[in-house]
Amino acid sequence: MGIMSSKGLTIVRSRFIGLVFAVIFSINASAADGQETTGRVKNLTLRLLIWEGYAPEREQAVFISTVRRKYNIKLKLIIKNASNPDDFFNALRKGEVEMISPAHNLPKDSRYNLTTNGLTLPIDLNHVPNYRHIAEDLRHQPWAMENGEVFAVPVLQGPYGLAYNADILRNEPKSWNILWDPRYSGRYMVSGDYYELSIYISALALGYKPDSIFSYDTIKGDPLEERIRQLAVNAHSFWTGFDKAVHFKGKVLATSWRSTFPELNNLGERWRIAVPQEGTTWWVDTLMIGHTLKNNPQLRLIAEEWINYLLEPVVQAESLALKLGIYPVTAPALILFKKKQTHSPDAFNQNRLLKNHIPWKVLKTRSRNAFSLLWKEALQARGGRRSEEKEPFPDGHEQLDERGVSGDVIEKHPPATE
Amino acid sequence: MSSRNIPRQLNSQGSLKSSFTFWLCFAMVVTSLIVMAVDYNLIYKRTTRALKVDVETKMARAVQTLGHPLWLYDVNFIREFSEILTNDRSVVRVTVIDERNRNLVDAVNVNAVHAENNLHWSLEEEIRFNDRKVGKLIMSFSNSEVSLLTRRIFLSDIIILFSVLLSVLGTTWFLINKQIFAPLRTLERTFQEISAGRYSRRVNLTMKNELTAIATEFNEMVKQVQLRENKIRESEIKYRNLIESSTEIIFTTDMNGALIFMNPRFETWTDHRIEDFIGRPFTRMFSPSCKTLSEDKFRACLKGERIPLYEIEFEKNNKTVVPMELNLTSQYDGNNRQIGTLGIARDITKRRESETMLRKYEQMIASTMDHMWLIDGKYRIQAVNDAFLNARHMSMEETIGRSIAELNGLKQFENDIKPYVDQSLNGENVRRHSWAEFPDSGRRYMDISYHPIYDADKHVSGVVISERDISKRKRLEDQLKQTQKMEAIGTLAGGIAHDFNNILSAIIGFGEMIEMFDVNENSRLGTRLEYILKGAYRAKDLIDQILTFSRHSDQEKKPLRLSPILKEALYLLRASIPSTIRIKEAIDCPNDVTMANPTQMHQILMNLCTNAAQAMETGGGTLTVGLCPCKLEKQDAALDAGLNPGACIQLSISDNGSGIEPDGIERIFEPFYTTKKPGEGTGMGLAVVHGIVNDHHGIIKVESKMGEGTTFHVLLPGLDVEPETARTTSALSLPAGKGNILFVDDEKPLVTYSKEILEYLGYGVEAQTSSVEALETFLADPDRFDLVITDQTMPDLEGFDLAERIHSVRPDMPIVLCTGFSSPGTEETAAQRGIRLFVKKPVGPRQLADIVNRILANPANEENPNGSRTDH
Repeated sequence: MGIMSSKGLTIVRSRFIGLVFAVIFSINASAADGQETTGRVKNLTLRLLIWEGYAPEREQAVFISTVRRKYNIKLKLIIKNASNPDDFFNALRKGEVEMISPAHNLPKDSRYNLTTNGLTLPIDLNHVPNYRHIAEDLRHQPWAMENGEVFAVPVLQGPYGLAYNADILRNEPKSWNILWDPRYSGRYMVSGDYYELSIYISALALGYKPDSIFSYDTIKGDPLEERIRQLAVNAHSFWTGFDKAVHFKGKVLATSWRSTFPELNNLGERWRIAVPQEGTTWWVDTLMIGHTLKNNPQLRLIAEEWINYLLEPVVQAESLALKLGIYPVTAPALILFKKKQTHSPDAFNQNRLLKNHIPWKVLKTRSRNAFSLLWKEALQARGGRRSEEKEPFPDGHEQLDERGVSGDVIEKHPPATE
Repeated sequence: MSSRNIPRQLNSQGSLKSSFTFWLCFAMVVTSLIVMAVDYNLIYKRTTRALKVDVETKMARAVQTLGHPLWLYDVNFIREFSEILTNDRSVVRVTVIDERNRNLVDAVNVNAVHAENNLHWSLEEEIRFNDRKVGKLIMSFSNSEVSLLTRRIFLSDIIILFSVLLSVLGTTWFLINKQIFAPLRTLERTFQEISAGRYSRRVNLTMKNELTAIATEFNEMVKQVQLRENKIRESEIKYRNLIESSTEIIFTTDMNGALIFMNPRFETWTDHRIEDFIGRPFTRMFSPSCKTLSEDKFRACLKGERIPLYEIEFEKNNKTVVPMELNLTSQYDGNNRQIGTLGIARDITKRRESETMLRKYEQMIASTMDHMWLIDGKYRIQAVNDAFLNARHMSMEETIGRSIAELNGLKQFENDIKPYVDQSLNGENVRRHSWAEFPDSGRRYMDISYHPIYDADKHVSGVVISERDISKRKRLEDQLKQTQKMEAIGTLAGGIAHDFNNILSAIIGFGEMIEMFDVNENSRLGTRLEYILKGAYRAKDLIDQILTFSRHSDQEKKPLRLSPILKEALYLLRASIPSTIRIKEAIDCPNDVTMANPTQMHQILMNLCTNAAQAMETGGGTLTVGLCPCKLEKQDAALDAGLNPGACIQLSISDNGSGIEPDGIERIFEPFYTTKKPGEGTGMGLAVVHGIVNDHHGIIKVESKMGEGTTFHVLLPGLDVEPETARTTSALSLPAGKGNILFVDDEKPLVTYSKEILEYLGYGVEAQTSSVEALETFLADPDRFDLVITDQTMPDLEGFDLAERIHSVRPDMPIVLCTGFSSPGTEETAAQRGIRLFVKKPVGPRQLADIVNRILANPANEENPNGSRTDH
């Protein structure tokens, strides 16, 4: 899973610096070309479908220059940004990309089966020497392996966390149950399209153990359904895809990828990440190589080296994690990341999160379908209550449909108590 | 009972055929209904049983299919599968419930919902997957499909059943119809026709059975009836044709006068319905005015009196009245007993209209002023109107039946009438104009037209001659022609005279200057100059006469008594005409005042009297001069164009000389027309008279007979005011004076001589040939001048405009305007523009000196402060 705050000044600034470096390196590369006029330059193009921010322009320039020096290849990177998990599957089927960046629970999801249906290729770890620096609990995990080979290499990780407005809540929430607190009814927002996440936090709030929240049969029952219904009905609004800084305005609580925090801080909003006692579910974004490189060993090698390059500690910590507000995956990078985060107001909680996180599991078809059904019914209940109130939406926003994905944010009529 | 009523009675009682058809159909329908009800019930039950078996099978398969998807919560699959199930018309609703009794899918068959009257039932079954209950399926079914199927089968059964029944019915009906109904129908049809009077019809049956014997007996009976009927009908037709084809209205009454019968002609003529009158008194047909008369005649007729034809009036339905002639006679039965009356009425409308039209035509012909007479092909007069008789002082008896030649004389008939009558007898309309003599009115100019008339065979049977007196119209046309001719000549002469005036002005002006300043009185040059001036003076007089004739010489007119002028003229004439001519004065006119110029009146008298005297110069005679009042009526004024109706004065000058040739009488007023020898006359005398009379809004007439003499009548409009006393003027010597004069004329000779004369007389003169320069001179020092003399017609700036500019600077400046030609109204315009004196060219030295002297002696125009005056 990857996140990016599109309008943050920090990113804009970093893009500008990256662009300058890219120009400088291009000039150097041209000079090199000039020196190697006797050799034959080969043109190659590598197409990437990844989350926004996962290929900083500065790092692209450095890598392209390295490839040129090393292989006398003029590499062109075509970067496209994904908006939802289905984009990866569709692009692979159409043969439009060489690399994708799905979250760790997707390669073996029954909807895609990326490791068994031939859409992706195993990664030669000899070409990714930095793989050994990856945190131990992320290396050689079942969700990345097939027949003893690694298909997905982790690059970044992060929470689906509970964020709170520190200007309103003086005390940090201790439990997910705060979302069901009547005082905050209509004053929070959650994801509208990642339905399973709403089920997870409802189950955690009910007290289910972290291992059991990924199976419908272990958590099903009226209490869970009622919790889910209340979560949907009392939410002020829902975000889809990514939470953005503008969505947080006027809210007290929210679920978040945390990627918006750098931008929120710049805007003067004091939002902090909480560490619920029940735990916080966790994603790990990986890089996978598509079947289009099966007969192109040269470009496949370059793709593997690109993965390796992104696992460099400085790239991990500074160009990716700190810019995007999320976590690196390699041990050296984590040390560097923590060091850089020492003065951050969230530094303490970020470290606590790492220790109290619940990685997502690959859902079985029955559980995924059941979770989807429960969330739809909850959204229908929200729509039904709204029609019973027979009050118009004061801000004129579109009413939520049963899938809850009609827009980035679906505003809800604020409760009368506010 | 009449024979016509038989079929109707049969119909009302019902026929054998209709009864048979009804009961046969009834039996067929009842049988069909029973069979169909049983059939429908059996099909319905059997199909419903089959359906129940079928749906149980479907239910079992659905439960088996839904096990795995329901376990996986594959809702999309379950929904699609349920929708497929509901495509079956027998499935009304499919509901899938999961293990937590959550209603996952509830699919409804929209097509089946409407069939609520059909049988419905539901099946519910648990869904299991791997021996674990994962939910349940509830399906609702309807036998609507069964009903539909049953109805279709039922419909096809009906079609088959009715087809069989119809074929049975048809065969049965065909056999019975052929053996029984067809002969019966033949019999019935024949009876109906015979009842309607067609006795020639017979019943013909091809088969041999009881019906054939009945038909034979019936035919014999009809034959006997037909013989009697024919005799009666022949008689009836004969009389009916007679009555109904008659153009008269024929009716019969009973002894009380009530109508019993009337022929259809009555309806045709009056638009009444006969039924409305039958049984009522026959006099109701008549208009109220003749009811009593008809009743009287009816009573007399009943008493056996013979009633002559008398006229009555029928009132039509539209309330118009038709005149009729009625013949009323008594009617008797076979026992010679009186049973009523017979009336025959005949329309006499056309006869009456003809009589009325004849009376109208007669009155119209009698009242016209045209002479109308009708002659036949043998030139005999058949009819004349009153105008014809009055004009000829004849009676009707003296004219009717007489020939035209006998009436008008053979010569006139042959020359003036017969050719045109013959032409008209050939079918032509002829029209001509001719003079004719009548006992009272004398010689008249007639418009005569000949129109052929035709007999009934379209042959010309005679001629209608219509004569209309158009003498007055002819005279007016002649006068109009003469007036137009004189006006044209006058316009021509006036134009020439104007140019001559300018020429003569220079000749006379310089001539007189030479005579005054440069020539000794008795020198040879003076004598020659005197001849020149005499000729110029004669020419000037001639020009004046021409201008007088052409009415371009405006002379001042004022109320004037004519008698003194007449006496003065006669006094002067007395000395100049021979003593063989006697002058007779016939003045009898108390009010002899007219608006006239005395000089011109004098000239009229002198010219006419001189002409009269010259006409009697050789043989002597009497010159009669008369003056008398007369009154011109409106119609006479119209005839005498130029003179307004009302009181007028007639001046008559008669001689008994040789008279004027008829051919020349129309030209005597033309200028330069003369019968005198060259040098004895200018030919302008009568032209001048004509011009003066016209200028005075009068007319002049001439009557002349060769050898008897000539009379001129001058009619002038009378005036009912007292005249001014005529002021005599005397000749003046050249008066001298002082003052500065601005003299303007574009004719340089005129300027030169006028400047010399005025300077000679002591005046200071600034002479200019350009009116623009003259204005500049004046404006340079306006107070320098005491008088301005200017020509009217000049380039750039005319006299009127120059005067207006001068007056804008010095309104008191006296200005004299000279012109060689003035149109009517010029003098009035001059007065309006402040011109002191309006002078007509040529202006001689004496006249010029007199004018300047007079004006400078009275610069403020105290004599006539309102406008200009004219000096001639």
